[in-house]
Amino acid sequence: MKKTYLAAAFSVMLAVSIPAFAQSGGILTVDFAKSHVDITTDFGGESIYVFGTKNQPGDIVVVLEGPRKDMTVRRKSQVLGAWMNRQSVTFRNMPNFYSFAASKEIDKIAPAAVLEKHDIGLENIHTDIRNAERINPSDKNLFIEALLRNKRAQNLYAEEGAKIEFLNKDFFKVSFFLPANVPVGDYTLKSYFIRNGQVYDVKTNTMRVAQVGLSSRINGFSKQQSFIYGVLCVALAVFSGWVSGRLRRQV
Amino acid sequence: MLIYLPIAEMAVPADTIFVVSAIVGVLSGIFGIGGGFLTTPFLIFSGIPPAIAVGTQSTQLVASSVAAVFGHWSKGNVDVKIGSVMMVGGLVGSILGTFVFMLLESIGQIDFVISVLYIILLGVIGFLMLFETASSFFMKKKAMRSEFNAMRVPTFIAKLPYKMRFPRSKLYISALVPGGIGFIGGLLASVLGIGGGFLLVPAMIYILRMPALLVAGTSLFQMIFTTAIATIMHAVANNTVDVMLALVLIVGGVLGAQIGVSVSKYVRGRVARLMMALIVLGVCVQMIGHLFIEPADLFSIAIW
Repeated sequence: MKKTYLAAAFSVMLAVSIPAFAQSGGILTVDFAKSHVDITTDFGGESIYVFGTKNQPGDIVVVLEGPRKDMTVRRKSQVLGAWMNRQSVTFRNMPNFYSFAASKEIDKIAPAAVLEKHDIGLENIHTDIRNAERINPSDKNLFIEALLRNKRAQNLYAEEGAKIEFLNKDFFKVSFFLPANVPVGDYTLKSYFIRNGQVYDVKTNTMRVAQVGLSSRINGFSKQQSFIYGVLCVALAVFSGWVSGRLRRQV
Repeated sequence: MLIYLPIAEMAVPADTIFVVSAIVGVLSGIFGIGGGFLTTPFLIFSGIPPAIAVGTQSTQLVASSVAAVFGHWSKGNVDVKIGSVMMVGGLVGSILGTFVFMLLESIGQIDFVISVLYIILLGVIGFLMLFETASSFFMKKKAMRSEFNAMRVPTFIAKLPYKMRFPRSKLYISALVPGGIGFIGGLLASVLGIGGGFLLVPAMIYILRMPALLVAGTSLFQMIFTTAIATIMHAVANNTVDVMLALVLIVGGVLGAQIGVSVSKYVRGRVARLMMALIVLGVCVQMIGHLFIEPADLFSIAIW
């Protein structure tokens, strides 16, 4: 009996003394209220909701990232008075949509190194530049800023759009707003539990944003049978023109 | 009213586009022009990617050209033979134009090239129209016509090979000439999203010396096929023809044209041509402004 108690006490002590990271399976539970956003003809944007719980005191950061794409930023300069694109920098694998919410300001939650490691916060996203050696470091920052500015203007890099709300001490709700011009594809949600500046748990969920119904069938058809699609568009135009022409003659 | 476009994968204000397309349609009904040079820049300035604007506007131009060709066809004012030769040139031009477009897009220069080409074309045509209209106010028409007929066909054109007879237009001329004109028309249709009527018509009058009566109908005949090829090419090569946007443009354009045609009886020829010249020059000036005035953000992004 004594041995069992001792063993039990020892295990409990061991369990409690090991940093919570070892129990990384257990702190956070997170999921989307709805894991797909359906785009139809009258799509004007949509709010999506994420619910989660944590079983320890600490901070939460939830990041929603859209599909990763290569992006080329181009700068105009004047050539004989006319403004044309001259210099360009291509960023590989940047998220096409980015939004996050945190229980406090992120620089108060974790040090920059940790934020950068996990791509938390727009300024902390890793940038992978093609032919990076050819680019001036001062230019590099200008182009990164331009990329962020441009995406923010389209509401696709939206830091203010996301809100986190604690329904009780451990249960939280996050809302993100996806604007009408939101890119289609697979989105990744990463939820971080951070305490004392260290990440103790990460949960990943995925969501799909896609056209549905007629729109998606048209889109699919235009990609798979592009020639017939083109011919059908022309046929539609010819028919419309024919109707109009006939009507005109009777006027 | 926002509508989400299936191919463009973006939402656009369909009501604004419809209204503008209808207004351009009215102008096309009155002046007998395609209107592509007005609608395409408008679409691009509204934030629609140039590739979608050009590809989809080509579809609308098919509709407006078909509608307009009716009247001319029924009167027999279409020279099918010469139109067909032009079409062959247009086919080659359209295909080449689509590849040129794709190349320019990949190096980020498509906006610039479109602006420059529009400025040159609209500027030249606008001034020619203005000059022609202004001088017709002062010179007697008869004097101009006879002076004109006295001008000889430039010798280098007369020396070109592959001569063909075009009985309807009473011409015996190298097929390369209409073919070349068609080629340029096709090239521009694919790159700029225009029908090219305002180029074809003067070219047919001054270079081919076709009888005035046949010019409008034959140019429309050629435009139908050129814009149709441009549509199919953009659909196949770039997937940039959005059928939903095309529908909005077609319905607006066709309705506008109906109104325009009925109103056209009340607009006197000379005044109409002057107004048209001013509209063309107005768009040209606007594009010059867009090119030479420092943009709000020097940076733009393209996503692959």
